[in-house]
Amino acid sequence: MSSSNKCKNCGSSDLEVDSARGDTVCTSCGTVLEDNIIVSEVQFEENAHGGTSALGQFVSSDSKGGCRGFGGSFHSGLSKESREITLQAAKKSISNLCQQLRLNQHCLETAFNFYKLALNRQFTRGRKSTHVTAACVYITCRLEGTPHLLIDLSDVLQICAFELGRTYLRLSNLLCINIPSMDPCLYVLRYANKLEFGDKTHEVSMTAMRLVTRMKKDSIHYGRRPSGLCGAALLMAGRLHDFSRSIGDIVKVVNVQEATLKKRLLEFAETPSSSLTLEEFMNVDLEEEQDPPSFRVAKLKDRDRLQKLEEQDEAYFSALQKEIDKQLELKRATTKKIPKALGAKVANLNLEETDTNKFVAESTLPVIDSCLQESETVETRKVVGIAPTLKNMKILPTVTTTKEVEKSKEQETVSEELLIDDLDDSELDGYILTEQEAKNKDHLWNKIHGAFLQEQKEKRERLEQENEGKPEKKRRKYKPRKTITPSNSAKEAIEKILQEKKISSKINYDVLKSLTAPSSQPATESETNQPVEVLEIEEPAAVTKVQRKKPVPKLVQDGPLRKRIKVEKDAETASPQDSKKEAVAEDTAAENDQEEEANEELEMEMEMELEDGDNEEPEPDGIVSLADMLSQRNGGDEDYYNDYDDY
Amino acid sequence: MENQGEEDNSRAVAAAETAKSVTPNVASKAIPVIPNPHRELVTNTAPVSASTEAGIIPTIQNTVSSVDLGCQLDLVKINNQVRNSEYNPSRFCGVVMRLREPRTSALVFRSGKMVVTGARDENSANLASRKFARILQKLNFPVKFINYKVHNVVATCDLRFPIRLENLNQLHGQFCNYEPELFPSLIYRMVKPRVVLLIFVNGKLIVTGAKSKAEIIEALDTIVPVLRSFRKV
Repeated sequence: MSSSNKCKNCGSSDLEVDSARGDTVCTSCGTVLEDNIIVSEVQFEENAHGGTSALGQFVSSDSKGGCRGFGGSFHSGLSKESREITLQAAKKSISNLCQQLRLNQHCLETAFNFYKLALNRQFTRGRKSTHVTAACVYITCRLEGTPHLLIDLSDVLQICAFELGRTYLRLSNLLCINIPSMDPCLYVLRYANKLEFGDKTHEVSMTAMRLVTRMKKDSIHYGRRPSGLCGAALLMAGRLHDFSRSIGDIVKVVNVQEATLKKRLLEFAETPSSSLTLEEFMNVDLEEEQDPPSFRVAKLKDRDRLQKLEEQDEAYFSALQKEIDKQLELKRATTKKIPKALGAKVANLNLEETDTNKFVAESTLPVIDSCLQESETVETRKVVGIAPTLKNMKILPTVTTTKEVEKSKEQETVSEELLIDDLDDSELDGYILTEQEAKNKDHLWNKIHGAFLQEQKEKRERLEQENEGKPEKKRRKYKPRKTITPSNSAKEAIEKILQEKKISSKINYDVLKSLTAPSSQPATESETNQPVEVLEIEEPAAVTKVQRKKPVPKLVQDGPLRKRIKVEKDAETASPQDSKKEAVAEDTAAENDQEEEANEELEMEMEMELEDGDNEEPEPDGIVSLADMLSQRNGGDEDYYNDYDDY
Repeated sequence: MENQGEEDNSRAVAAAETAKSVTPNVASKAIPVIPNPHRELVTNTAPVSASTEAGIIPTIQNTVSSVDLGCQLDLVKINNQVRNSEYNPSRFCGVVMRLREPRTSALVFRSGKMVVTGARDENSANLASRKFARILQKLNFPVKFINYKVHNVVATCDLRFPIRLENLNQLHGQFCNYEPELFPSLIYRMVKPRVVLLIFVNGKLIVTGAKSKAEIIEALDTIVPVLRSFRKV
């Protein structure tokens, strides 16, 4: 039960716990905070026949326990909360699953905790319970590194592995669990045990493990199921240790297709490690790592394609080559015609050119070298991998103003007519059948689908007959949660909230809008406008204070009080204007007695309280607090009060 | 026919130049000419970006767009009068129409909504949708062309280097899914632009969920430097 050490009533911390009576009492105000405390000592009572029995009732560790006895419900001890039932059922199914998978108690608890989280996030809604529990168990398996695959779970529960996988991915996303990629080595031992290697199980599995790690180094494992890899490794390891296991045997254990297994073997055969003998393989670790097989295949394909292209274009290219040669010849011929006088100059120029070239080369080479070195270091740094940041993922908070949205909407409104001036009608006419063709097609179509159409029609009629007189079923609609976009100002935020969630049906929101619009209605009565302004300037603090103090929903007031207010209002209808005139006078008179001012302030406060923003005078400015809006509307809604009185 | 096409061309250009003020020779035809905005459609390619500079050019494989034709359609009639059409109400409630040029197919529904798939770029998707609409117009349906929208653009590209998916999955866990048991590629859900990338070990990418080609290029600009850092050497 609650172990808070503060009185709920008065907040004092002087609590007295009497374990004999089993209650907690606040010594300062006398409230009984708890009774029927759970006690640790065991008491026994003797019944009429002389037998003894333990007192109290059994409370299990995960039940919400003793609290349910409150509130006078007689049979409360027997019933359970709905949530508790759900959790119990989940625990049962999780423990069942864990037993079948031979998982330990710790995993069970973890999985159950994941289930609780999922339940709190309403992840269970609309999903099959088996899927959710299985996903919880699988997440636990992955985090704990137990050798279980999705297909094992789906095998036990007889559900689709992909469906389960989807649920699992959703759940891990929802709970923000970053699950490490699976390691195929984990599953080797498990499969090895199933293959009956006898005493040599350990040796074989060690070899297989080494094979798998080698495959990982040669990146065969990317995008491949771990079971296939393990199967291939175990087959090889088994044969290396003189066990005759056929591919069929392995396939039965690891649940993959024969072709897949063969492909894995072939892929391994293409790596240099495959050419080593057993002893060499166990002792030598090749430094070199291979590209993934799929990459190699793609590369080969590319090369083939290029070669084909080259062959095709050879004729074309050779023709081009000839043309180019011809042109060059011509050019050379023309350059030869240059008079010899220029020759010296040209030689000179050539000398200069070589010099400059040399200089350029000398000055740039070191720079390039340094660049190369830098890029090498960059390369090594890059191996770590760029982690996602807000900046490089371009997820920076952007606030789209309503104006922008409107603009984009405006742009979208293009004419709704179909524009066809660039279409070729003759082409499209070809798509339309002639009358005879249409008739034929119609005939054929009716022949094929006529029966179905008839069936549909009959079905519809039957349904209509059945549903006659029955009220239509109401569908429950799930409203998706709306997300409120960040707003620029407090005012905007409040507007959004008001739009989102109407606070009361009694509020006329149109009036509210007109209030917030900055001086859109410049004052209906010019006389009253000015004085109110003066009031505002003089003591805005007082005004707001008064109005804040008011309990916002005035709707719950008792009858008599309300009537009194109304009466008083009637009595004072004349006074507000008086006071305002006074206020004007005050403004003109430069200095007044402080006492008088204080008095007036009091008076005004009273009036404000009574009027409570009587709708007679609209607030002229745009800065109106929410409380103001509410109170104003409530105060003005006299119809409402009348209605209420009738009840 | 070609002549007419040219005339149409010149008309549209003139209309575009004068910006709605009707030129005299068009006025003589006495047809109110609305400048066809579809003609001036230019595929909005992003300015030369880092990834395209490096020779990584995405090839668009499919575009899905939809449009509301704004009238109820009689599917049986459409099916019977159009050449390349299929209508099998027991299997699918819409008519499937096919076009040869651009090679696309459309799903036409009774409500007048139409979905056009198979186009190789945004322009041809638009052209195809209008062609389909025109065919239906020729069958005397009061066809309009409301709310044309491209829903999905799918593109592929090849980076030509292997990628270490496991490390990528580790570091970008909040965006990634990599379950070799379920699917061989790593599924990368990018937040901005909101697209999904399938990243394969051999350096091939599939980008999907984009609304335009520009979005695909933007996504590649973001992801390519990251992938380069996870290159397997």
